[in-house]
Amino acid sequence: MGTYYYAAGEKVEIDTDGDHVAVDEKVARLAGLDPEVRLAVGSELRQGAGVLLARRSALGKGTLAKLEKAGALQPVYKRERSVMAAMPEVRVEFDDARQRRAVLDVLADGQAIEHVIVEDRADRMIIRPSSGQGGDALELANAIYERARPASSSVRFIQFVPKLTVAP
Amino acid sequence: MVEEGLDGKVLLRVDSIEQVFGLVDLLLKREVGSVSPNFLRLVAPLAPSAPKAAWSHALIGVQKAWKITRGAAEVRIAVLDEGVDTTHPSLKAAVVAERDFIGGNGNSAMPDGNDAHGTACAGIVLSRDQAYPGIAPGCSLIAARIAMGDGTPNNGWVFDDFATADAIDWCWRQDASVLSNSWGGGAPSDAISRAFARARTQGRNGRGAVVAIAAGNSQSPLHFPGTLPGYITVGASNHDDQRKTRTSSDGENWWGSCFGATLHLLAPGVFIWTTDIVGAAGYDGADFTKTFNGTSSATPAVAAAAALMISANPALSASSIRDLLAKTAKKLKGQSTWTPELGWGRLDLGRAVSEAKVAGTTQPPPPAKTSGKKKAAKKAGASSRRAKAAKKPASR
Repeated sequence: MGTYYYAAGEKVEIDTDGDHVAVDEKVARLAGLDPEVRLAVGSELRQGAGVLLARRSALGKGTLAKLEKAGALQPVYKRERSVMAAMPEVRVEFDDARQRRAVLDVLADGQAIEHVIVEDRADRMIIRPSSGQGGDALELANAIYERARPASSSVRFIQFVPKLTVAP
Repeated sequence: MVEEGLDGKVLLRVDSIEQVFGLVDLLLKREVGSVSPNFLRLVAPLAPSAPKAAWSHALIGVQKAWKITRGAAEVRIAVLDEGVDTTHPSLKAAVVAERDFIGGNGNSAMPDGNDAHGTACAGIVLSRDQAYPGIAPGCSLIAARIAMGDGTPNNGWVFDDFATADAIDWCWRQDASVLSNSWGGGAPSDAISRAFARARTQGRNGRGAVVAIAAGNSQSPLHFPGTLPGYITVGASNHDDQRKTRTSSDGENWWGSCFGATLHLLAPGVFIWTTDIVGAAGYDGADFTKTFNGTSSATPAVAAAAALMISANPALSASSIRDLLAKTAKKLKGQSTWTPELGWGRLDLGRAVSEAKVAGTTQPPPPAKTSGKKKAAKKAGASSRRAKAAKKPASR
């Protein structure tokens, strides 16, 4: 099986979208790279929720390398009509204290991807991979679900979808 | 020669139609740049023109419902969408809370540019305009901005799964009785599903907030979140009480209502009169539009119906409202029971609100005839059986 995540206890398969790159707008701005991205992509740039979604072919190798070095690139997947950028954040929800303990055990056992717990409540936990990479967040979310079986373990996806508006 | 125009154009006239094509052939042989007959074209309109009134109100029985209630101010309806123009004169007075969960605008749910979808949805629910009335104009509005245009000419939507989940939680915690969701089509998300579940079970102090979700417009199997079981997934119908398909009688041949196991009912979804962004932006140059459509327009109609039902009978649970909407829906032509394409039928607002008003009220027991213990016991048994029958779920 290729890339996947969990929803309603089932694996949801997603395909890597090599045609697009997702640029973390804030990180790109801090590195002074967002004007370069906007200029290169022009009116085809899709943006929102802090992500710039560009066709890989619209960005030169030099720009891509600079974005990569700045840590501004996040992985892009697709499923049916949705193009999805995985962001470096995992949200875990618990139905009871036992689930929370199981997740803490998984995170503490040394096998989990290096991470930081940024919120820890009785009913949910928010975790970030130390790498700042959405791909690591996806791997971490899946590992938590597979090993601790909390109520849910999701990565933050920014989804680009067609509008429900219907025009001829 | 009749006329000589600019750039080498020449208009020629011949005496009969028969001569036209011969002349065209002749000139083509002389290698002129181009030559063509001048056709007068009779073109069929893309779609029938918009009706002259808010037709859907008459069809679903808004006036009948309004004899019972036009909505109570304490009943709040949350519209989760790409923002709502909360300055619109027909909506402004209804707004009790608004927040932007995706664009960083804090306590403002104002949309960007031409993002008029949420404003149109909100108007269907509770516009207070006389000519473009909402269905539940007495209720209150919570506007939550969860999507935004992606900035391209195709203008897709951008969603943040966690922000959407947070918005759903915020809405029911703001005492939203009903959540209207005219969005979807993305990949499934547990964060969103679990937030909906909390709204349904914990909203309204445990009676449950009603969650209405658009089925989608691709005439294909349902999309997330319309696939979630236990909510009110809404498809679209037209003025002839047909399921909206690419071949239904409305002429909008570019879309059809989605279908599937969780479809609950249909509501009108073509040529809907509603509010538009104030000024030139939006669907129309004016502050209103007459052509809003899609399951996006059907969903807020059902959300408004639920709000009127709660206004009429605040004790009703979310699941009771869901069951009543199913029970009172008008079966479409040839329909006898639930189907994946039609759900339980088309929203009948008048019946739904009438039945909601009396639902759950206990009938006083008939005066006991003192003809012996045996007869009384028999009666009690019959009542018990009736009560059990009433508890049977009326819908999927």
